[in-house]
Amino acid sequence: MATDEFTDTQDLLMDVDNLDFLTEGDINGDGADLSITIDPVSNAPTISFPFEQPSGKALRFKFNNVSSRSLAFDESIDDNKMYPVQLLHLDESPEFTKYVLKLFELYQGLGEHRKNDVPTIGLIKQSSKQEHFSVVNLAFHALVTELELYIESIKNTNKLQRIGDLEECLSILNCLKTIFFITDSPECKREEMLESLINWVNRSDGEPNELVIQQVFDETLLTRRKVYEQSGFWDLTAQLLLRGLWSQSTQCIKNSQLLEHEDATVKLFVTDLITIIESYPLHSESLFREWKLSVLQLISNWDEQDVEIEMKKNLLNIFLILSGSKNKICEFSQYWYESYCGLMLYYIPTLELSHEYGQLATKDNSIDVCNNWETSCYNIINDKVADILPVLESLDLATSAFVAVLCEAKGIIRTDFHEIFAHREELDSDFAFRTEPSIGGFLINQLALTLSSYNDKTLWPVSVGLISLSPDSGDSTKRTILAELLPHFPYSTNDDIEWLLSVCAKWRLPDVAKTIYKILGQDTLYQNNIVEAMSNFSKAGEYEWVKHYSWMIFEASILQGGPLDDITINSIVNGDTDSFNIPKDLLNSVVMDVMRQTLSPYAVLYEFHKFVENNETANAINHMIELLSFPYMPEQYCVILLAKFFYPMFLKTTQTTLDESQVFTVLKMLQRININDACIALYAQVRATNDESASVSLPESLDIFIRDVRKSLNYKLCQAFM
Amino acid sequence: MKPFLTGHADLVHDISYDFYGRRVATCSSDQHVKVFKLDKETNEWELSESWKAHDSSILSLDWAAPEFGRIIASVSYDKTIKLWEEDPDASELSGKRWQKLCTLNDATGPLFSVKFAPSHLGLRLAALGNDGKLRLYDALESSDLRSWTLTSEVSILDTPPASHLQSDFGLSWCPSRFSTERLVVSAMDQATIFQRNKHGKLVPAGKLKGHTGLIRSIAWAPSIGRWYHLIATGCKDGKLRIYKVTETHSNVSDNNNTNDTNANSSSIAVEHGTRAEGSSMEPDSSVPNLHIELIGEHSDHQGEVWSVSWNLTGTILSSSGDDGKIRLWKSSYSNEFRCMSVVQATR
Repeated sequence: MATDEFTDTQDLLMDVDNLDFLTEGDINGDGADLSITIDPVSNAPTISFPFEQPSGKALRFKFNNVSSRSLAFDESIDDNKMYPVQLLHLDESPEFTKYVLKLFELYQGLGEHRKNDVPTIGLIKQSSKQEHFSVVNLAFHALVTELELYIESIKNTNKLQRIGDLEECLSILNCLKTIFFITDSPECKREEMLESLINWVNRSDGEPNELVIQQVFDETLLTRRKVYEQSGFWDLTAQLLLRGLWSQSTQCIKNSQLLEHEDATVKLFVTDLITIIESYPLHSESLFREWKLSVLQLISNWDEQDVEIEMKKNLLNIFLILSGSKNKICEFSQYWYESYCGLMLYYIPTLELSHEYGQLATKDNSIDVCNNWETSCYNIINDKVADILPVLESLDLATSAFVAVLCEAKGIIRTDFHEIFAHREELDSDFAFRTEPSIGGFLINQLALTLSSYNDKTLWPVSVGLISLSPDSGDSTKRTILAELLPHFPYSTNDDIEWLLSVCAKWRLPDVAKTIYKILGQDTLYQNNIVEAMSNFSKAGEYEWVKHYSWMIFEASILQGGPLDDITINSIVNGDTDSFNIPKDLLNSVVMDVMRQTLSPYAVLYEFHKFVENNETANAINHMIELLSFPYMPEQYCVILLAKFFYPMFLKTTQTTLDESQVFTVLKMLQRININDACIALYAQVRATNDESASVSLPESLDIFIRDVRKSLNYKLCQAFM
Repeated sequence: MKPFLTGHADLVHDISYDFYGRRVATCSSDQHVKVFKLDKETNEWELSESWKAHDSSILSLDWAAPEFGRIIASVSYDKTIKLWEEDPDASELSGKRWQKLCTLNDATGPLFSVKFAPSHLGLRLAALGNDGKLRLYDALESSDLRSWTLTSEVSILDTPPASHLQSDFGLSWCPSRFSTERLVVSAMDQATIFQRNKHGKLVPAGKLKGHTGLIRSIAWAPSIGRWYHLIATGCKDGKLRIYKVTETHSNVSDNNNTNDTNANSSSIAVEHGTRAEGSSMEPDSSVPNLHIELIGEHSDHQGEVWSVSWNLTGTILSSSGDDGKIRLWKSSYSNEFRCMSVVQATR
């Protein structure tokens, strides 16, 4: 018993351990919700720094190329911290990426239907316009579905502000769908439009909320009055009916004890009311007329009944609402959109009267001008679709861009946008970027550019795709945009690079490809992958750099006194890939012709090292003479070739003889070279790296060394004659 | 991403990100430059290297384009420009990872600003300081980064400002690879656009008018997909200004007439104190004329505007000011800039 009691008590206590409380770790830059206020000066949403706050004394901020990594700092003695800045509307979540990818798929799939073009030449089908509308409508419906899925995917996060913004977007889109993207589809059914209307109104504000319903039904317990005896019940029923929530309203009536009313007449009429509500004809216009007739009949019959005054009045109001009475609909509406929905459902369900309904609805219940979606929906009803785009843009750029394109494809944007840009005519006509702007094109362009500053490389193909498909820009404009943008692509794998270069190839951007190769070259250089770096520089046409690094390899080999430990370089100069276990195809793909050419001095030096190793002195001397007589050999390398190899190996040993031509070649070379700083520095380095145990020590200064070389050469010349 | 301590022992004057935004370099009055890199795993900035770079306060620094390697230029009150290159073989935090490539010491006064030119112009940098001279240097051989040549010198001010007075200088290159070589220079309360003429000389191409105080910050917007340019300035007079710059083919006198009739516009305006290379005071007809129009003037910060900066694609402008707020501005279809959001510091 005691155990049971304990268990029961446990059930009443909160299981703290199992609750998913927000921890400090959860509140990171990506996941934390932002508390937003409105800046009184700019009238713009204001957020705070996500963690610690800077003091704000001489506050400075610099945009990073990846916007989410931007930093702010105070130029103040008290504070030398860097503060990351969280930017409003910058959503880098995987859900957003998925959403944008889906929207782009839709946009891409529209094909020719992206434009509102009616064919005027060729085979013109009468149905082409209908087909176009049908495709665009379908795309819009898919867009709304994707937005719903996106909201659904983030609803369990703590990004409340973001969810709120997207819900507002959805309300606007649902209204837009209802008014403009349903009825002109050839296969459109009347019910679709009405269902969409009901969905729009009810999803937008979620009224009536559970609390109100509960209050109506719970009050009877306190007051001991019947549910239907309270005015709240009738208001609630009216509200549910105005919002097209028929099953909820009948349920409400059934639970209201009206069916247990002592007056049989009331019971009968309530039963009729339930039947009438349940039989609202969504799909047929003719049935609607009949239905409305039966409502009017019901009113007439009810009017003749002798029932309690209050009951008579309340039920009559409900009947009048159903009959489409403008006054009653407006009277029982709490919000203008409830009136609008009620009029559309019960007066005449047609969009032709939409504008009139809108005016009527806002007479008694004004629009909440602080509410984005309400004003936007009213603008939609009044056929001012262009006006909603800035609002949508402020809520979510991606959604607004695709909505704008679809609205343009549908031909429903009426704007003076072209007039805004009319002044361009006054300007020079030779601008490469001159294009006819459209709101959709503008927003798509903004989106493409914005996505490329996100820390998400999967969005780059969308960016490039949007620019490529832009209806407003010509190919030259697109090429200039891509040329500026592509080098910023944050590649990390070979596949990324392949993609990047394929875009350059497709858009014929050889200079951009060269820039990318240069960047890759530098990158690989920092990873100590000199061969790949040289390969990239070759592809970039940076032959000076290829030459430079080839000489660096050459220099390193001299200073090391042997072949380098790099098997790739050695297999290139050796031509023997088998012994280095490097696939020949792979090597050929890396090594460019220019590399083979610039690496040829090292190839000779490499062979020289091999001859020395195998004690093939004559061949070694020949190779050394070849190197020293090479006309493009930099002077400093002549000096260190002499100092490191020729002088100790062949001049200071009596066993080695040089023939006359070899001696003259070296003497000519000595004649040619000018001793410069580089020669002196490298000579010093050779001296420093020379082993103390080396058999031949080098003179202290380069001048003495050269003199000594000449002297030794003279001796070798004599030796040759002798 | 959390705030992090730079570890500087004095005022931080400038920061600069590398091309891919994975590194940030900071400079300070403590004569040190520090480089932080972003840890991919933790998404936090970590100190990579710190070194004493100058003998006085370092006021500005910039990264070269990645095509040229990892190079940083820094300028200081010690009148020198120094160029640094990362040595990947040296370990991090060893104090040796960044090797000095060279020191350029042509300036006769403290240097305030240094910026590398966009990469399509080659490895070139511009520096400006208290001696009122804009100097451009080129690494003529890309493989030899130790050798830099002074290729242009332009007098921005007739006389350098008195040392006891507050002064500020800034510069920003036109980043478009499809435009003539241009840069905008701010000196005290004047801002002038310079462009290279067909003789290869830098000549003034127009002034950004309207400033009534020291220009604290100047930024030329990336003009990706735009047929005009945008330049933003932040000024001590409390205003953020946005200028629209368009190339025109009308002749100079026409432009000057426009200038007279429109107080907010200017074209080629060679004014007192601005000298082109070769001391030519005449506008150069070999370069496109620029029509400069003030399209936005905002005093939302209600105090000094300390910095202005554009995002990667030039679609968002930021400004920060004495009110301790960062304001983000976005252009509408009609090219009207509106504050779209504010980031607030506690004050």
